[in-house]
Amino acid sequence: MRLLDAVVQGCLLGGQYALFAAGLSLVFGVLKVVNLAHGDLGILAAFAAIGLAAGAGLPLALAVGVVLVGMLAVGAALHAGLLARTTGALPQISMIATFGLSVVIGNTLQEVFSADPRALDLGSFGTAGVTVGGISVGLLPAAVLAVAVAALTGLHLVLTRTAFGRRVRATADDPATAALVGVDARRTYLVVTALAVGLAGLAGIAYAASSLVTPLAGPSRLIFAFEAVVIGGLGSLWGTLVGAVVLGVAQSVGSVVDPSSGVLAGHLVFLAVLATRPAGLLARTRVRA
Amino acid sequence: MTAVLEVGPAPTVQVVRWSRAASATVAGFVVLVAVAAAVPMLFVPLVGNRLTALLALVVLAVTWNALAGYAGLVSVGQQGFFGLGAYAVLALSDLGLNAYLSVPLAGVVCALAALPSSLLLFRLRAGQFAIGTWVLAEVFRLLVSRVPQLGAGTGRSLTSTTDVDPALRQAFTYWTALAMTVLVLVGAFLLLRSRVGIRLQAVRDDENAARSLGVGVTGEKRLVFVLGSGGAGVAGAITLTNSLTAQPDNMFGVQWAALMIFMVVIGGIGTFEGPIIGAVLLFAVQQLFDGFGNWYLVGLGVLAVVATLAAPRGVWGELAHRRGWTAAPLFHDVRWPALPLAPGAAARHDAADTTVREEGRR
Amino acid sequence: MTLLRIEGLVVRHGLLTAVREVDLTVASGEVVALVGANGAGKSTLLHAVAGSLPVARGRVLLGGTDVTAVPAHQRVRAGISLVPEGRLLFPGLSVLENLLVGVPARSRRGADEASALPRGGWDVERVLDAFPLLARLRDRPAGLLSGGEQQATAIGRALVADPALLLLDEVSLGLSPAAVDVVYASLEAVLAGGVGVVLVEQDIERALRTATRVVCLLEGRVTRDVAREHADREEITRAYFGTGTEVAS
Repeated sequence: MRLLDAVVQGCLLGGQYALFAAGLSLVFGVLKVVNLAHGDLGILAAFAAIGLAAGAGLPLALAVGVVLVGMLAVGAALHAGLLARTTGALPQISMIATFGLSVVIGNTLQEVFSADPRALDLGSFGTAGVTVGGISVGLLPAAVLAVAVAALTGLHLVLTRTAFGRRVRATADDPATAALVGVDARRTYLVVTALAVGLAGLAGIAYAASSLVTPLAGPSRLIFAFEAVVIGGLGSLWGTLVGAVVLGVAQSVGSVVDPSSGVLAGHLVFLAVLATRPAGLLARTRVRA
Repeated sequence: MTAVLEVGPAPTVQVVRWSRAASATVAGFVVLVAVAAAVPMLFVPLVGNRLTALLALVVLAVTWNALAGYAGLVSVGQQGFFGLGAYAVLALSDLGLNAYLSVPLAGVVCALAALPSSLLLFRLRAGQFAIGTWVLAEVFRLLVSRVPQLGAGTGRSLTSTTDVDPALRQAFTYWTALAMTVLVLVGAFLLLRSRVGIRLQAVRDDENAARSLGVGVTGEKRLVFVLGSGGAGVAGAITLTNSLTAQPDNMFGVQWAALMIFMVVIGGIGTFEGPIIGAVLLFAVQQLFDGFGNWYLVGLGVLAVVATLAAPRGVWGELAHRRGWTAAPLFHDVRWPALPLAPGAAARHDAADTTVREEGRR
Repeated sequence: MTLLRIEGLVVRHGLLTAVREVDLTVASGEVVALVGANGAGKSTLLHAVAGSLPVARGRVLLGGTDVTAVPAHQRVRAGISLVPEGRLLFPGLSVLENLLVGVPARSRRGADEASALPRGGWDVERVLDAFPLLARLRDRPAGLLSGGEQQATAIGRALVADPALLLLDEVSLGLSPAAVDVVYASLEAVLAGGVGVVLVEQDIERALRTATRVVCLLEGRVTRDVAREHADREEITRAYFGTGTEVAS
């Protein structure tokens, strides 16, 4: 029973990781850049929402809306100001720049908000739950999982069914040729980065609503998101969801076995997948001429 | 003009790998090491303590640059090996080994740990590799935190050196650090100047061209990763013998990665001299802004971001690019005698010269 | 009317000058074959016109408008489409999706002069009609196509932008003779449509059959520029191999 409970809670936890992973995977897939500040951007959104709601007294929905719009703008600025400009001696220089940004965001938040853990107060909804067959399911974690599934579905539909999605995939395949058929690669990158950072903001807010947040929690979110992406298999949004759930379950079951080793159990599952199925659990066998 | 034509048989191409500046560097280096070795005799212990910290930074910067700047392996997880090195000294001295002898051994331990790690991590490409190493560092931290003999999560002190006179202990610590730094610098220089280094630079400068010439470098990358991780471990070991206490969240903390990246990016990534300059600059910043807490890290982060935007070659890279300076001769000057195009001109290809490379990439 | 005018164009690859002081005009309805040896600067010239390579000196005018500073993706909207050497399809997209990527994002606003240029009136439907092959393969991933199928897709992808000037870079390279025949047969509909075409073709025979004008490039310079009727095969071959190149246009 405890194990079944842990599996259910782990699945719900996976929703949170999937939200973080969606944006990370989007930027990596299209721009081929790993945004090492992805987790910190989520935490930035979380603290912004906490600040607006608890500090400035804005209604919660308004605060969240303002922050999400703000994060889209931050994402656009991140591309225009940083990713599009870093051309250095090394191709990885833009990734190094995002690491610098991660250090800046985390430590600035720590100075401004102190190291105290905080949470986004959702009132009674935050603690409400239903009990199904002896297992309690929190409404909030369930809602987060639903939002994650909705976000991944929406992303999938946009990428496969719309003209914008075709341009994104064409740019991801080959930006120079995309330009030759009339696609503005730079603009595509900018919109993709904005979307990804918006998703990071959504993930950060979901995280802050579900548990206590500290200013330096960004790197761990980044790592979990990354593990979800690799476990599931790169380039597959459904893989990302599966990876996130596997990671959540591993952590949650690990904590049942030994309360202090949940995170370690997640890492070990990641390493095990890397050792045995490096292309991820849901990797499609590549069919390419 | 006619003299050129009268040069009898085929002119021989001369490859120059040394310069007068390089000889000066070697001489300066020897003098510097000698002076540095005398420091404990000349100054108060505190200076020795601080200089030891500087040496650890130099080792970190040089080894991280070998990874990122030469082998193209941007690791955000070298703090894993740094921490492992520190804890290896604790463990080895618990086994009765002399703490100072444990420092090089800690490097060996880390290199040995890096070999199987590389088998896993090398399955990840560029950007993913970075986070993969980070995960590994977290695994190391979490595993060490579970060992009660090593102080578990709260940490522990190095006790085997406490009965030594403090001044003497600091001198020993410092000399050990100095010896290890010299070893790392000379080793890195020889490695990067060797065939291994040349192949790595060829791939870094133009992966496609190198591949078409049959240069594949997974083995070389693995070698650099193993040796570089050993170096990070040595830096951790030095830091422990200097500070005497180890705590997992600190020793395995990602702030060490931030410092490595800062030093290398500011000093000049992919140059031999740059990271050393970066280490000295960081050391100076630390002395000036000690006690500013997180704002100091914020400042470092901002500087690193600005540097990647405005001067991606770093301090030394910019100087070398503009003035043609090289202190450490990793280059190959190919001198074509009596070429009518530009007599006496040298087609220089070395770490500092990025012009041709960049034009190739755009 | 003059569709494309190139004035004193210089293009460099790093330290190498690939195109030197080239002047060239192309009228609507004209099919200009660019011939020359490997490394003569043919592809470079096409890419400079398409905007995917920066120009060191000189101007590129489309319908009298200077487009030298216009980025590649906007030149597509202005009316220049390039079919690149090696096809360069998007392997992750289906054939139909490859075509649809080429459809301009919005109605051609802000390109008033350019939209006045004569075009072939191409869109996805017409392309699928003209290339029945593509209609059959529409849902197949481009990565799974044969060379000839890829080439047809690449030409179709360039056509759906309804170009006024179509640039074809080595469309027969690496294809079987039968596939080349198919590709050129389908090109006839394009060539008859009134757009200007510049084609780079290794096969001189084929180039002479298709083109209305022949321009020879040698080491980045135009050495011959004659109407097809006046193009003497031997003379072209000589220009091609760089012997007796003192003749200027």
